[in-house]
Amino acid sequence: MDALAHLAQGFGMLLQLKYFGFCLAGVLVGQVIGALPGIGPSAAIAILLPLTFGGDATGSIIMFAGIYYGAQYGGTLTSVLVSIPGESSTVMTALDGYQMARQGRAGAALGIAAIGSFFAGTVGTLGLMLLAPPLAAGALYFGPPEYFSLVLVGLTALSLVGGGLVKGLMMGLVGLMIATIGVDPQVGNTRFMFGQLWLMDGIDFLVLAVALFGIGEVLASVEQGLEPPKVALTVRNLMPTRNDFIRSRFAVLRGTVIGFLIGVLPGAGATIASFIAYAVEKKVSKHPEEFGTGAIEGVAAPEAANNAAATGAMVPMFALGIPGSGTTAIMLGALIMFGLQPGPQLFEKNADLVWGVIASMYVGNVILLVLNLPLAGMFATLLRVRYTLLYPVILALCIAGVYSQANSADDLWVMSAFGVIGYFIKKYGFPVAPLVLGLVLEPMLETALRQSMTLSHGSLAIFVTRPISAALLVVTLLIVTAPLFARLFRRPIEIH
Amino acid sequence: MKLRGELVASGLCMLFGVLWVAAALGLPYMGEFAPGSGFLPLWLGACLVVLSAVHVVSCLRTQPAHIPAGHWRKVLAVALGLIVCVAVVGSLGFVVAVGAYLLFLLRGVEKESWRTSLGVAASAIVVLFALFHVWLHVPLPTGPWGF
Repeated sequence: MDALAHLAQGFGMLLQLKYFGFCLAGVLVGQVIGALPGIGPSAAIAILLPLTFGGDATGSIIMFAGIYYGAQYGGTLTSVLVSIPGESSTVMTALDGYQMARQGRAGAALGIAAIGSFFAGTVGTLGLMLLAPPLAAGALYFGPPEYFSLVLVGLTALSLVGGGLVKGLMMGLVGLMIATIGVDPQVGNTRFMFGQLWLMDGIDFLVLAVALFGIGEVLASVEQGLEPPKVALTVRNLMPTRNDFIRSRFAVLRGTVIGFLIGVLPGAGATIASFIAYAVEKKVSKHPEEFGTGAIEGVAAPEAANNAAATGAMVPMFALGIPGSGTTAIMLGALIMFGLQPGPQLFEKNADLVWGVIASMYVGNVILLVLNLPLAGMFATLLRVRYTLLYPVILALCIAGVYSQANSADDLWVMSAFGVIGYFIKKYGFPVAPLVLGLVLEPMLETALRQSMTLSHGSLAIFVTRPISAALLVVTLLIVTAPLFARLFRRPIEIH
Repeated sequence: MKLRGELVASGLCMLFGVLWVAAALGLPYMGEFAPGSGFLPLWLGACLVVLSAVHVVSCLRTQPAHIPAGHWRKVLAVALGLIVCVAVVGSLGFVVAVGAYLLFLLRGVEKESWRTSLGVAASAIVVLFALFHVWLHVPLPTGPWGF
């Protein structure tokens, strides 16, 4: 009942024009960048961080969440209409969605995707509401050793996604190491400054996020030379037929459950969820041969899954302060930037923020459904925007944003340098998300390590003698060793 | 191409790790009971060195897939342009420096028409200047001419 009272309070906040505006802006931006080429929700949130700096924390997180799940709707458009997934999480949608579009059923594909996404987003939010508070309450009993081990789980799990475990772990370590630059907050001495006074405050999270996700992403996309897709298809009849509904109802349901559960797991986000939902659907279908030729279940399941996963990924972020995906890692960084302490206390100390965001997700999904059913055709025109016109504007926005947050030209140099580094990171298949997560989680990791070892009078045994911490370390060990065992039997499959 | 790049990337990571280990050795490893400033960075650096070595070995054992050469000249132009823009933005101001950079990208690099280039550059600058300077009241760098 407590949750319902909090939720009512959250909805009360949404009645204020300001917060409704943040929600609307978020889902609109998400919808647009989901459809635009070469820019995803991580980049959009990173680039918008400077604009929200010093502003309303609740409103900004409502907006960022809107961008995350809104992008899942937007990415569908490109997948269905031109078979070019706007987001990696809509790759599976392109398989059957584009075939449906070629058969003149683009409207039905987009319609079922929007309805499935709405259902999944709403049920996922319900799951978030039911699962996160007890998880947070349980985690309140966590001491420093448990936190130390939990951060290790989060970092290793996120390292699994992308170019492979070793590369992911390398990037996580690089992020952790960068975070140690500057003043050691607990002792007060400086470290790793190499005589450079401007490094005293360390490398700013915001600058690094904009550099890696904004500049690095742009340079990588420029190299690929994104050609504008030819959209010759028109979108009409967005309401799926009765038969479509009957065929896809269980696909949506299964996609929702799979997506949410995978989203909750640290490290696995919307992309993996959509892959698994598609595979499961094909497996249980009576007509598996239709998959890939325009089966509506092949659109409904992954679309429901990616939306449910985007919501599920917020469970560990809000309840434990451990993000489950790259995008939520940036949102966690934003929370810290706003001076909030992420972790289980968030539900107690900043109940307004958490429940405001949860309420906004119900509202946001309704807005997206309303936007998508009648306006899909209009959003489809976004697909004609040329990347060559888009990226110079993104770069200008990065420059303005980074400069404005500290009025510092030094920050612009850091941004340029890390932008180029980010380009090479992408080019050689290293994942960026663990680096950002490492940067965000280092203070928590080091504090927990110090407090734990103070408790144990300098002994590392405390991490294995406390049962929860030991269990978490076993999970970390399993994550690290599982791919090694798998490798003995087969060649690794890379998911980009 | 990709193999060489991966090896260079791993080498740089290894160097980064060695640098951290070396610098951490100069910091206190343990305080009274709790780890000192050098404890965690030392282990992080050491782990990075080990993982980089593992990656080098696995790269040499399994030839990484070839990546087709992209428009690297464009990447170079965009990056160099950014560096020049950052170098002059303090003295010339946001409007002139970033405006010129946008024109360089649109007209020079992407060969858009003058009309499109000027239109996109001018509207982007006006919107950004209004957004940051006027609406959010955060100062952007200004030149001797006040904008």
